[in-house]
Amino acid sequence: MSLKAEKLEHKYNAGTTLESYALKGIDLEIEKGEFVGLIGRTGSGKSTLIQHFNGLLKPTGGRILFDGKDISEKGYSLKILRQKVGLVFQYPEYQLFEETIIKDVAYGPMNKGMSQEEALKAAQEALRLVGIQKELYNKSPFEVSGGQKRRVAVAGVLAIHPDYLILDEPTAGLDPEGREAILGLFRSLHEKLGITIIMVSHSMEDVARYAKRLIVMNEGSIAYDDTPREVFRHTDELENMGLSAPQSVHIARALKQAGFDVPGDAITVDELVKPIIESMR
Amino acid sequence: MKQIDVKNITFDYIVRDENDQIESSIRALEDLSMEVKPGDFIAVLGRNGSGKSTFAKMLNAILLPNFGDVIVLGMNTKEEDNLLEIRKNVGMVFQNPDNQIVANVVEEDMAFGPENLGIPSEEIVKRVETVSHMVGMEKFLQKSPNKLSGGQKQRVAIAGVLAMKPKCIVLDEPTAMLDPIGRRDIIETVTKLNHEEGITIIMITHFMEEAAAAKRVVVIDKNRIQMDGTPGEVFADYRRLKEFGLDVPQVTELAGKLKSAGIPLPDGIITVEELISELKSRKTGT
Repeated sequence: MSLKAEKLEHKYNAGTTLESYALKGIDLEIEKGEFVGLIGRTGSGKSTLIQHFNGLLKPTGGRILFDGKDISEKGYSLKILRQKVGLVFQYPEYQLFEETIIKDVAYGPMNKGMSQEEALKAAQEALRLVGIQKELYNKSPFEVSGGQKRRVAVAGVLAIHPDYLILDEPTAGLDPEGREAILGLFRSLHEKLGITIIMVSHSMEDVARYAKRLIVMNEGSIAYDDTPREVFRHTDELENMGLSAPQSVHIARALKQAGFDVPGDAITVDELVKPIIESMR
Repeated sequence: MKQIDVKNITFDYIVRDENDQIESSIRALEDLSMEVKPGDFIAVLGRNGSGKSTFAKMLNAILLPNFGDVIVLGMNTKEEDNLLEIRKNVGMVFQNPDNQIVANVVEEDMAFGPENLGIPSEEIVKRVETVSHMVGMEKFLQKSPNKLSGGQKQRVAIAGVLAMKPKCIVLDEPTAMLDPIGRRDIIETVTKLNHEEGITIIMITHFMEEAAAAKRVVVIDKNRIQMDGTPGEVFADYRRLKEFGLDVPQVTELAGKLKSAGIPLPDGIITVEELISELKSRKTGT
């Protein structure tokens, strides 16, 4: 199984003087079971790209293949695609609307055609996965904390049992604890259920710690597609693209300059502890 | 001298049913007191739902306390006659840059505040010129705000506030929606306004690194102030911060891990420079 972009192109205002490319020449394949981070400055094309992955936007050139099939072809069911490729928007809690948490989460499965009983079961299962306790099921989704709301919104997508979960800046606006909780959730969904995670993020630290593959978008094209460690070697180039390396890389560089024998490519703080201790001896 | 004096304030959000009857109330702030001095640079930390945004809205009378008083430059926020003067002096910048832009051209957006204050247009032109330089957006004055990045839009929003010549700016998670460079631009901009113009900055944030740039860090939890000190002092107490759903900057985390591994480092290291000099002194000392 895979999600593939072939020579994908997206033009805005095609044929007018305002014509501009949001995406250009994107070749990309994401296999089932990957944990991918997607970074890029505001306006680099990240959101446009992920909206192609579940058919919300149509390519103006090239194509998107899901399991080898072109999703733009006539007769292709976008409804089924969207059940397999779940998209969680930025600030998804703004889209909660039902009276109770359980009803809100059951909305997707009901829409998918499940009976009420099945839908409630799917909703309970999803809420359990995201760590929302039973006592909260019949509360209004607006009564719980920001971090909990976000998890309820994620549960709403999980309840339709997607194979791919695409998240647009899932930690924006969350406190450190809420942030860790939701990132831990994605990791466990990935490891335990084999759900493919595609996470758009502005936090270099988060993608360094959680993603196994990192895609960097710049001006509508892919600038890098590699492991986070390899990508973050290009600190200067990233800066020019409006990005940055995780703080640990900056710390490592400063330590190195000050004469400590530490690896310059430490993408997490933990990787620095041992080398520092050794260079103190 | 106090610029803002928050005295024992309590605030409840009231939930009403369809018939306008009080259904329930949720406490957001309880008996909270704090003084802000001219030129302070305060980072306010706290988990989602801790009451920090409510607190921010108290500082320029968007919300009024149920009990207690907020005194801004000697004026009580409860007295309606003071409203204009208070809002001129305490400007607010919010999280979402797109919600704060009101005009179709950058310079008009920056001029919106002073225009509402009835300031003569020659003076407004001068102010827009000055504030656009302060936030580094002087080259964009004739541009449409739609073409700007998130960080640039936030700087326009800050300039719009600056054009009213405030003594204090309150920013509620101004970087939450920005990319890394946008985030850095905003922090550099507010730091400069504080250092060079002496403008008081009160900034709510979820990024511990940003708080490390402040002069003072205040932690709000359970509707009250729980910690208040220099970044070094506050970040030295990792255990309590965790209790409040918070964290420490990565440098502080690294220093903590080195300390646990047996290197005798002081608590509350918040910059790489401090860490390096501490490590060096231990290296040569043994």
